[in-house]
Amino acid sequence: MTRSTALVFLALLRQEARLIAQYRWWLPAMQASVVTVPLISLLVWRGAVAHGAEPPVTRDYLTTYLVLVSVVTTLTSSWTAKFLAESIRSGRLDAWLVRPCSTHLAAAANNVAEKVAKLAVLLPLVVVLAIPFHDDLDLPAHPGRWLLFAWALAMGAAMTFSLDVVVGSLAFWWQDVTAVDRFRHLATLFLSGAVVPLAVMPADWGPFLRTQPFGYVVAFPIRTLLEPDAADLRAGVAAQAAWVVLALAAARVVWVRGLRRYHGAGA
Amino acid sequence: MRVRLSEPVIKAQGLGKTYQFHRQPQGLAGAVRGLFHREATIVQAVRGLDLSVGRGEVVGLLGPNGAGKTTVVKMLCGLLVPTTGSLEVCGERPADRSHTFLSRISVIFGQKAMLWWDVSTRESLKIHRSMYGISRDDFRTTVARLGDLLGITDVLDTPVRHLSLGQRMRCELALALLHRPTLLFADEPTIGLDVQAKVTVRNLLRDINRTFGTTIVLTSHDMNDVEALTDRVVVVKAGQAAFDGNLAALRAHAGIPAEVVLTYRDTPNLPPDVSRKSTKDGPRGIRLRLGDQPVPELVHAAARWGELVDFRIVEAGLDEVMSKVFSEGGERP
Repeated sequence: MTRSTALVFLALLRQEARLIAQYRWWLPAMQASVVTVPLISLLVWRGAVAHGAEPPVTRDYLTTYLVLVSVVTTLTSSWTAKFLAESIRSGRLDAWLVRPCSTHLAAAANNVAEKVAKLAVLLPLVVVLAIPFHDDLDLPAHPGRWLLFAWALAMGAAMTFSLDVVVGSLAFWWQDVTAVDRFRHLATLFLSGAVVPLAVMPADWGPFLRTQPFGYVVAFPIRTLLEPDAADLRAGVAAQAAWVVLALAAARVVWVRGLRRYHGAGA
Repeated sequence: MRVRLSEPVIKAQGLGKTYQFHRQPQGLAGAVRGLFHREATIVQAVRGLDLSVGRGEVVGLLGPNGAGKTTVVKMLCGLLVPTTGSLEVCGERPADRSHTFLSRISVIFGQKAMLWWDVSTRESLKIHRSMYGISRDDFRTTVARLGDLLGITDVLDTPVRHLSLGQRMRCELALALLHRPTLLFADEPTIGLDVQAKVTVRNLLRDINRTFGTTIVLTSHDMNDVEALTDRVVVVKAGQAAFDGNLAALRAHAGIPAEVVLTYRDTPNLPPDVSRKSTKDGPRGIRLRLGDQPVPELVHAAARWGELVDFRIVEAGLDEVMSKVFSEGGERP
């Protein structure tokens, strides 16, 4: 990122922060809903364990995972596809294409600003959620693990954002990309570990779950804090980086090819 | 690459653009058939267009709806990739959308906002300051000057969504002109404005052109805009340049004769052949097409029809001229 791009990004970030500040009740309401799903999962799993169920992971692992999952989901999520597709379909993209600034930079600024605001609201909720289960929380003390966690989060966020650009850019070809976006969200929900930890899925699915990309968006960042095996983590970091590069390349190819088909609807 | 003063700002040769889309069959049965078989249609919106615009010119790109002028403008500002021909704008290929190219142009869309809706104009201007790398001092000076020129100093800090249409258009202009573009595309810049605001916008565009030598490409259906601003008009019809010249040449091209307006003290006593050819202009006036008859002879004859108090020669209005030019043959293929 050049200095001028960084300055534009900061200006857009400030702008987004000002906009978000106008929606005072939307954020707490949204974040309360974000924390609700893992809370229900946590209560269901702990109830099942109390009644004799034997999941393939420890109770500490399960509790820590489900307390962290709302934070990770928030930080690695993206919501650009819908807006990008709409701007392509309606021709509103014109306003960005005639400026010396990428529309994706503006979307990234929106993404980062909104995540910071969401995190500020979410963290107190997570702390409240963690208090009753603090005896079963098992978080590493080594700063290196937290750095790796931050890196994995950034990579997961980059991957989701790139996939969003791919899905949104399909609007250059199709009238409606809602179905693709919905399918992608369902796949992410189920295969990322956002609802059910991948570690408790059937053992036969192991090779598939380790290979598919969605697990590197939510489950892998949490594993960087919970996984004791360094070799496993190194392999995970490499696989995640490979998926990020692939997603970025796909986003670039689809965007550039799509722009050639752009009609700029409307006068 | 810098644009040399002597070089045209816009150079287009054999420019063409083809669109392909699927026809929507009529009715429910057609819609169901369309699920299994779609008919592709190719439309040539622009064909073989040659255009050269020099630095500092104000050119009106005119044409009836669907003639292809918007497609031409979109190719010129890099929004659309031409299908055929060569195009150079500000020394660059617009479709490459290079940072240099985008920093030199500016676009005002009369029907699409460039301003951020939920914040004030000043905040939008600040973002453009970062995008175009404008120094703080330059920014302060330019904003103050544009604020005065456009009469928007008092509303610069009002959220855009609370501005009236006229105020918003003037703020859009301020945003478009902040970085002092070499080339300004003004697409219906006065649409929806009241008479006073239209005059303000026209005067401002004129000032900008004279002061900074900004080249302006104007598309408008308001012939008052065209008359007030343009030195030259290019009429696009069926995707081709049907006329390229100044307004006097366009009037001559249209071949609509001027009219004479005669005003009498009392109701005139017109000969039957004059009465047939004339139209009323107020209670005691008549309007006649100016034919081949020499003007002194006409005045002499008119004085015999009553007590003549006024005599005026009126050129055909630009609306009438454009209507004639637009209707001359050449439908879209």
